[in-house]
Amino acid sequence: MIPVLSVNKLSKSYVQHHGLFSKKSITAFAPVSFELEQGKTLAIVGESGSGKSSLAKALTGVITPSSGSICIDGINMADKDHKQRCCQIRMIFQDPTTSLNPRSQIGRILKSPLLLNTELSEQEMDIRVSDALRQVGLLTEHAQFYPRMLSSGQKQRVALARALILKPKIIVADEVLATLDVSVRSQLINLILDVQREQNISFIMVAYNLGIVRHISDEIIVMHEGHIVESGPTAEVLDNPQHTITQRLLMNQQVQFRK
Amino acid sequence: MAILDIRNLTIEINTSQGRVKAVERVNLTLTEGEIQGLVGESGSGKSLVAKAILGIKKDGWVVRADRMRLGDIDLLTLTPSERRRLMANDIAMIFQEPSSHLDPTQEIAEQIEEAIPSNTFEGGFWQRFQWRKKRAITLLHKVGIKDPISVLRSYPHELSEGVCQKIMIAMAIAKKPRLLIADEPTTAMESTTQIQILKLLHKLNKVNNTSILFISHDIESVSNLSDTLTVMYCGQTVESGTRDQVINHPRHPYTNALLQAVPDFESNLKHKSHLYALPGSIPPLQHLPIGCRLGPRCPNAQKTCVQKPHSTRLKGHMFNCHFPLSIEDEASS
Repeated sequence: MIPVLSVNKLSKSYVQHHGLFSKKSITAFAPVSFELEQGKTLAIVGESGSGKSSLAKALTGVITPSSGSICIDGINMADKDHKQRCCQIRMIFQDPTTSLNPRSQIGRILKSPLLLNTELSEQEMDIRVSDALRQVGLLTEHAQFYPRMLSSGQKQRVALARALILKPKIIVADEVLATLDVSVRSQLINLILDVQREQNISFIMVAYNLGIVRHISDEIIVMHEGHIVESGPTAEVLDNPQHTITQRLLMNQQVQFRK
Repeated sequence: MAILDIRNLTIEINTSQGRVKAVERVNLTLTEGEIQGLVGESGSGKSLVAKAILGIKKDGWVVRADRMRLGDIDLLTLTPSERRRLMANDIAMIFQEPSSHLDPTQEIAEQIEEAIPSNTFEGGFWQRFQWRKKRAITLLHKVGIKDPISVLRSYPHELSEGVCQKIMIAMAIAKKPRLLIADEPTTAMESTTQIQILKLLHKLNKVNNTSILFISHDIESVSNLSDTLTVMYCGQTVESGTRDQVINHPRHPYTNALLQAVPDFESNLKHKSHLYALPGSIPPLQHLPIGCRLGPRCPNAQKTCVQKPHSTRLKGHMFNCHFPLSIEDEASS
């Protein structure tokens, strides 16, 4: 089976200039390679500053990588224009309150990726928008709402709808569950699982709660200081962690103060 | 002995839709030297309760209570200046997002030294020279900062969130408070730092016997740390009791939902199966339902739920529900 996404030696480093002549190179993440099959979920875990968010951004094209290649269905994404890439791989951001434009209605927010990337007519777009809203458990009337009129859980649903509306193959979610309340969080997890089952979308989740990671992901990558220190099927890695970083992450999740 | 005793605390807020009861008849008892967890999602009024204890009030808030005592002092009859003095000496609070609560224009040294009250000085007059600085260094040592000298010389933006929170805790314990209110001290922190802060609070409680009111939205982290738990939903207490009672034998559907929503390592839930979730979302302040406020989202709701449930008390385990969970199971077994 051909993997839907294969990343080959992708890396990103920044160059900082000090004075006139000296410069320093800072590595966000060292060359990483991994593959993802269709309909599977890949989780990226690690401490802050381990480069997991940069990796997620590099995958979607928010930042340009320094070297390496990203192939979706065997087609190298670097050769393609952004339009093509947008339709294949979409991103959901961490904070739903700041990722939606407060001055436009939900309908317009959802329509903008269609306007920019497709040649659909006005009616077809409206149908797509109401379909996407219904898919994430909102009403068609929500298209007339402004983001401030929705709760944070509903906003995150809109963000998911915006990712789904172009019918992508891969969705990258950067800590989307971190800011949500517990009862709303499990609703969103259920929604993501449903969407994945129905449309066979691959997810890349950057997450911190290992309990949730274990529940929803098939593969896991543990990152530390820009390097992948451990990877493999989630259950195997978390049941039998080999690297000290993974062991430390696991220990932090299950600290018992009273015995 | 109870260090904090609150009965029927009600906070009303004037909004454009009229007066809303943001917190309705909340009871809270904190015994000396215990850690109490106050759990609730956003909009549950848990921060309002903390503010009411401290006496921070905004215009348009009406705070009423049948009883509100700190140790043997009645907080309701104090004049504002007396109350301020009491708050300064006996209660300390640490906040969410520590870096935004420190002054960005001052060095840490100045801010900590300012927070050390003069009456905590012990020793003769010859020891007065630079005693605040020495005290600041010991305080930073106490909260587990390895290099206090360089931290004292830095500005808040140069330090990480975890270190900033430790500094806030150092400032809070400078006056040796009897009660420490921690309002979501670990939100938006990564797990390693989170654990450090929780461990620090646990140590403070054990070593200094400080009572801690730990406010959080995450029942997982709270249940680890606290002796007793109070769960709030939309301004009402739904359940309170010891840690074991609430975590292992929840009676209220809401507590149950919170506990079920977190997949942990022990649970034998099928991989990628649906998690238990309450339908709907948390109602906004202007549209609170009558009676039991969980009503519209509750799986067991019936007609009687439009009336506010009476609180039932069972061996110190208090819950407000018309149809509590697992009562019959235990009676039969």
